[in-house]
Amino acid sequence: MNTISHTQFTRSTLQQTARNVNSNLGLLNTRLMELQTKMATGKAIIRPSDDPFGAVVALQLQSLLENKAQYQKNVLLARDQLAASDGALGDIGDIIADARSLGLGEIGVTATDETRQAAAIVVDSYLDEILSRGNATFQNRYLFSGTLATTAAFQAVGSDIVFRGNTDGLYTRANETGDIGYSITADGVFGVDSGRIAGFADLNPTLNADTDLRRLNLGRGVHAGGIIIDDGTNTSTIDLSHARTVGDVIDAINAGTPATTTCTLNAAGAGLVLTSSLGGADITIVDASNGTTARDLGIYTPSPGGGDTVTGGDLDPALDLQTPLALLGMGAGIDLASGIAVTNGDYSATLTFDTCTTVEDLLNAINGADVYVQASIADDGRRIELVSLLQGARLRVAETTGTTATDLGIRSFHTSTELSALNDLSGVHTIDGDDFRITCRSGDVIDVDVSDLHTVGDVIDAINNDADNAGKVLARLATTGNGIELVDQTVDMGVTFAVTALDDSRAPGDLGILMSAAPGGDTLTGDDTGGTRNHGVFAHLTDLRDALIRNDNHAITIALQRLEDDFADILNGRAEAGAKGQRMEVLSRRIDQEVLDAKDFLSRTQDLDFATTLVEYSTVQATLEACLQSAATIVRLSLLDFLD
Amino acid sequence: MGLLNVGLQMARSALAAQQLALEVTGNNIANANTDSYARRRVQMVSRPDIDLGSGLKLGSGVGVAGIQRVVDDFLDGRLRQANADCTSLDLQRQTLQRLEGLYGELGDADLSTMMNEFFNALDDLRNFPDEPAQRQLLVSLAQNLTEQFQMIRRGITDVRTSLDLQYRAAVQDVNSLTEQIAALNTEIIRTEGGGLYHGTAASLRDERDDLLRQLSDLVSINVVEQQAGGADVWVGSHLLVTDRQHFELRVETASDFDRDTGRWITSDQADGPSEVLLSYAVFDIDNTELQTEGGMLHGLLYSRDDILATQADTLDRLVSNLVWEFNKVHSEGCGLAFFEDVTSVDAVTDADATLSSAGLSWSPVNGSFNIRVHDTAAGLVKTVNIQVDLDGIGTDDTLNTLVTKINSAMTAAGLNVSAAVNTDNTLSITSGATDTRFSFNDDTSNVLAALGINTFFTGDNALNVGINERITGKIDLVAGALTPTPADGTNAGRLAQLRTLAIDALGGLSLEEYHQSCITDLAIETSLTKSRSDGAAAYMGTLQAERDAVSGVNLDEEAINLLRYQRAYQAAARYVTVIDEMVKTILAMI
Repeated sequence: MNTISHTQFTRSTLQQTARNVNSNLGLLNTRLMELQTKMATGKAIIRPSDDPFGAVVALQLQSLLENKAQYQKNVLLARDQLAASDGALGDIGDIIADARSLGLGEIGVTATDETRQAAAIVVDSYLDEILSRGNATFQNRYLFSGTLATTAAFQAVGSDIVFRGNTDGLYTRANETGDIGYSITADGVFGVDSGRIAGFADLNPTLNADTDLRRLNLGRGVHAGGIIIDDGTNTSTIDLSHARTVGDVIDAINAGTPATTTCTLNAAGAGLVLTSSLGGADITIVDASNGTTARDLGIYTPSPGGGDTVTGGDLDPALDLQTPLALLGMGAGIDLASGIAVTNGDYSATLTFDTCTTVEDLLNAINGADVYVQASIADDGRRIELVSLLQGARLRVAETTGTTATDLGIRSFHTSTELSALNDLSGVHTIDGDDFRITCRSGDVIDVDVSDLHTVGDVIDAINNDADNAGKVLARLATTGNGIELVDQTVDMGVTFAVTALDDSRAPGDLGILMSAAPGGDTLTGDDTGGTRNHGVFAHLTDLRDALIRNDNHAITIALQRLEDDFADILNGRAEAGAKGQRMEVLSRRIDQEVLDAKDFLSRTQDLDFATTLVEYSTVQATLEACLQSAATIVRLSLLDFLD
Repeated sequence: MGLLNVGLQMARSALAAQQLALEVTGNNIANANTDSYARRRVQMVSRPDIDLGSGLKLGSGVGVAGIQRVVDDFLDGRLRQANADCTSLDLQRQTLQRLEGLYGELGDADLSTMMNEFFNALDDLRNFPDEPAQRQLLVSLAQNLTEQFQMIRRGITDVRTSLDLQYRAAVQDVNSLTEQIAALNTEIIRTEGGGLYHGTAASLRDERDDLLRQLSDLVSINVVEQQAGGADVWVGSHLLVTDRQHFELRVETASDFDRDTGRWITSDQADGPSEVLLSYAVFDIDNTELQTEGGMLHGLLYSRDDILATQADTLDRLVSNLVWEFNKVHSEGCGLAFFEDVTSVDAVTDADATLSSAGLSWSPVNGSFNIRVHDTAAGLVKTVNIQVDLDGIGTDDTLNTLVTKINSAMTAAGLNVSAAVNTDNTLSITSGATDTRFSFNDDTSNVLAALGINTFFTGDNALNVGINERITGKIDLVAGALTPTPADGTNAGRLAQLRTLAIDALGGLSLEEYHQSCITDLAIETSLTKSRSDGAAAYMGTLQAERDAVSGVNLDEEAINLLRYQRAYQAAARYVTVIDEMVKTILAMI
């Protein structure tokens, strides 16, 4: 309450009395009005200045509550979407279980061709159901399409199923500090990108002036800062905090050092080189202010004695879309003109890249080839990788006439291809001892054991280095297409150049070289048993259906085994959805509790204590009445009344 | 008989004196409620003795030395000072309370709620980037927010304008008052005979005191009375009135006021047109500026140029940082639709000037940005990187060179997109093919945000802030994504985080924290000013009571005086009767 002024003087005048009464009545009335407003609004703080410190708390709490309401909304959306994902996956799991039971029934002795044909029709309907559940939506968005959520994840194109989504996760905010993912992506549960041709060649680009500093050191970049260059006579501090490209760094160093110091890219184009033409120059380069810029640029040279030249280390730029193709392969470039042959199931294309200038052009050429292949830069920034969008079709990349596919590291059958990856992951089945015999035209035979070998290169080496070979047969990768090529270098004695299996080994067949040459022919070009495909429920149900139609007991068994893995993947997906959903529940409850606490606190800060206020109101009212009464008496009192 | 005559004379003087005293008392009673009235007191003195011989001396009655106003000049001075302080503080309090009302914080539709709603809508957009309804909601909430900024900011400007008008009127009032005071000085000096009858021009002095009090409402004054009765009125170290002369004030106008140096910035020194014309008073005689520490003129100037200008700056700072930070992030994203053509919202002053000093509200830096060219038929994207050279080494980029770079890069990439500088020095980028559209990303140079390309907000302060017409015209251009996929809400997430992101230009505070701290500062200042204003009012009340105690009319006292003077008059009359009887007795002896 405001202070009511009171004065005690020897003389009290009428005006003074009136002024005092007026002032006091004004203050009391104002106070009553304030209390009345508070009671009408139920708020103790009407304006921030009523209680600045309480207002700060109230403001923050109001903000907190408004934000928490949004977090709660986000969390509930995430929870519901996860529940929807879980439901869809549950349905898919049930269908897989049904398919497996059906398939198992067709393995036994009771199964006949007719029952299998009938079962194939049922499996086909399962495929349709999974396609439908794989395209399940929540709030008009496809659950398994990643950030392409407005497009159905899976689409039947001819006999193929195409993945139209992507595998990017969806995120939302559940608190002030971080994001939470709330989508179950199609890679884990549908294996949509499991058939990936992960590039095997480090494309190792060199630098140019436009190379973004963020790409250096395989994408770790360069910390902004300054460097100190000393040529033994002059010390220059170069601020590189505004440099964005290698060219900016070179310009800044050249501008900031004496004319005798020159910075350029080194001859290989892999790093920087600084030279000084100053007589007796001895260059040192250190970081300014404890930074790491010089180290990141590979030119950190703390100790003198290196003379007038500092040759920086390899800056290893990561690939980006703008990386010129001419810089690949340490600047040697790659064979772009020959092109590659891409075969993806029923789709194929021969692509040449001689008009491409950047990595992006090359990727676009592949992605735009209508073969349902998605090419991208691998996460490590060194390679290009390809993934088939078709679920189940085999993707192969082969050479046409040159070395383009090999140079780009995307040839699907090459020396480093794991044998276990051949034949749709069935690998190469070997036996103890020699697996196959190569019969030369001369009649010489070479028995080769490919047991315990790991790669196609190992097989080629094993043939070439076999003790019986001694230059008779040259094994190599086919120069065109894929497969192992065998060249008979012996004199033609009328014997047919051929590869035959030993002791029924399946290895030569698995390697694609179980074949004979035409009479007199000296070259055997093996089949391409490599390539990759997406392994997932669509592929394996299709496998099961086809195996049932073919009446292929072995294939049915394999398909069922693989469906078991798919079931496990779906279960894992459900577990992930369940765990994340559980977390959302916990977060939601926590937010509820926080909201409750905040409301309670806000109420105690901002809301009116009615009891206290009412008491004060009554007190002020009583005071006002007393004031009115006393004022009436005081003002009326006058000596004049008592004089005759 | 001689003594009897003396007695009669004595009685006559007593009757006259008491009668005069009664009349003065009557006058006091009559003015009991006159504000500026100082009660009068009759100064009675005993008249000189008459020598009766033999060492006997007899008084000759009573005389009236004068009628005095009972005043305490020192107290009046303090009262005027307190009055000036009180008026100024009360004005400041009113201004701050109006500001608080403008912000209306702690309500349900205040600025902080609107900011929260806007940022929360970004979260919703992130959750549903492909939903037109979310985009529309975001744009509507952004419009609400910008309108709220403008409403508050215009409110501040309106208050400043109205205070300026009051200031101009108040200066005229000062002139009118000083003129009247000078005129009264003349009268008083004349009436009091140049000091011979000091203090006798009581009514004129009352009137002058009243004018001085009114003047102290306007400026903080110091009054020094001269021997002759004239009052010199000082404001600081400058005379407003001396004797019969008063010094006129004249109103000058400025575009701005530099609070750091305390200097006025005239329109020819200012950067652009002034938002509010700022009036200030100078003495006509020597052009020195009126400096006052209190009174309405001080309160108005302080409110206009300190409280409100600071608050306008604070709000502008909040908005400009919001706009800049938001646009930087927004310009790097893309929406559901891509551009067929785009023209920068902002223009450079000279297309050949280095971009970092080309008159843009914000400066781009050395870096680069990407133009992604979408082949909508094939669904492929070609990215073109444009380096923005602003490293201060060699030749830095201008708008013209930037255009050349874009065009060369597009030609080299075989893309049908071109850039041009328009006649108004804006930048246009246009697609030349039906299936070719473009978007932007990865702008480390901030040149897109600085030029207003692919931006969300326009303007750079709370008054001119708005939404980019491209966005309002096509909500699909709200850049919620970083990749051109419909459900990518990554950029919306980045934008939503700006609410709590520490911003260097705001001293490391986030937008939310900055706004809260501004409201808190305003609340504290309002509360403190209110307390100071209440304190000053209480102090003035005390002084006023003191002044009343000295100069006010107490009716009881006057009643007693009435009684006193009446009795004295009656006694004197009785004395005349006695003398008369004595004369009768003596005459009867004859």
